[in-house]
Amino acid sequence: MGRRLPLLLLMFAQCGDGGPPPHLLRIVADDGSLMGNSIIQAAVQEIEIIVVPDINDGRFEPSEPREIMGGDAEVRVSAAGEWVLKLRKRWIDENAEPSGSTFQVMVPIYTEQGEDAMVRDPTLRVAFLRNGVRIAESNPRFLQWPPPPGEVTVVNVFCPEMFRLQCLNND
Amino acid sequence: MVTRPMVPRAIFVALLFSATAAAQTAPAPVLFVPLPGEGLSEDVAHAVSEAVPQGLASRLSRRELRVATELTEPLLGCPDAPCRGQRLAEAGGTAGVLLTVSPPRGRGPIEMRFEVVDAVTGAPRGEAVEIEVPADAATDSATLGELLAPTFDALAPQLPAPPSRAMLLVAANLDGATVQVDGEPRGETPLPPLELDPGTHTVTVTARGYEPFNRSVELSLEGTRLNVDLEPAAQTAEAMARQDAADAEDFVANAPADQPLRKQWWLWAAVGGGVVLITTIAVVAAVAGGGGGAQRFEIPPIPEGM
Repeated sequence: MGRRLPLLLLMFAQCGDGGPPPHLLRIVADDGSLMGNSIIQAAVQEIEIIVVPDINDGRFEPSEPREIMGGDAEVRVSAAGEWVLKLRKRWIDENAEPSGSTFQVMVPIYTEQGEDAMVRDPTLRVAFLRNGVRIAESNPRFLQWPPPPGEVTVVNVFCPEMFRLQCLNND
Repeated sequence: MVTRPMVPRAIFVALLFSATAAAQTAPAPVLFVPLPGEGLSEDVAHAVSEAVPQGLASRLSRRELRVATELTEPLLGCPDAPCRGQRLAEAGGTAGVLLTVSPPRGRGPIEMRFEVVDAVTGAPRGEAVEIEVPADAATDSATLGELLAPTFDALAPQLPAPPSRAMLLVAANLDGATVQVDGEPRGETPLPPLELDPGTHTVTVTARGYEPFNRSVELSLEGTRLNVDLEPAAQTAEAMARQDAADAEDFVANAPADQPLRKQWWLWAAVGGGVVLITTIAVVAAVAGGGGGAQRFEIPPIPEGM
């Protein structure tokens, strides 16, 4: 137990309610009005969020997939040094809310990295997966780093023509 | 709202409309979708296919009408307004004129019901208009056109207004890029379509680390889509090339020698690392009680680079 104590304290410090609010990624399924085709929530089985450091900065330390939140999500760092968060169906169903004729999810993120770090803004990409296939993706965009607590970054996810039917499939 | 019961529908005359539909290839915001009833005669179908688009088009100033028979079957299978609205939107329309045609019962008249609905929501843009046409008059397009003229007039206010401004969609390969039109900031990509006066405009798209994009576009009332492919700036491209070269050198330098697998140092390092990792995961899971609780996702610090 004595060895677990520091770890326990660290976790409490990270998960406590007294810290700054998280940064929110507002991920919006496009209804086809901006680009591509409409996407229904039932068609999306997983949401993948990828953060890629700037080419001039270092990479994240690769790590194996790790299930979190009771298996509702998985986090890993790819061999290419990209941080990948995968949100599963149960998390999506619990957190999705209507947005126009489609849906959106708010994903709270944070980092312990301070503002004095000499790193450039990483690139953020989001994809919707169905049967393991990326049926819809966002354009890459910069994510302000460190992500400002309490602020929102909007990410629109588009369904290309080749996946039009999959994006409307609710089987 | 008209609630008169209609006879079962089918796509009996869909093929008769298809020739008209094929001829209409220009972008068309208003879609005419015939929903024929089962047992409708070919004569009536022909007359309807000629008279209705002609009559509607004459009330659509500067706005195209497209006969969308490909939507007949999907719309017949639509249970509710959002479904049909979605189908219309997917077909590129901003509104739809839906015509339900019921064949005569015995020597009775042919029932026609017109409804104008919005794309996306499928909501009616006004009261449905219903008319009964004598069966013998419905086989001639000229006669039918005359009979339906008051109906078209009644529908005209429900049809979308003609566009007075041009739409410009700036579709970039990068989100968060700044868009300027004629020097005025219009926001960051992705942007909804911009409403602009018809004529020539200068579009500038800029993003840090990318070459600026500059293009002069001629906008007509039909609207224009401008695809913007931002190219990495020379400095960024150089950095990427340097990184690729460094990665390649690392790969070559660290390539495993031609030795048996069990003698490779990295194999045992990986095994050791795996054990440590699994142990760490197990401890964290045990302490956190299965990982529930924290509703936010931590991203590790980014190592500082060059």
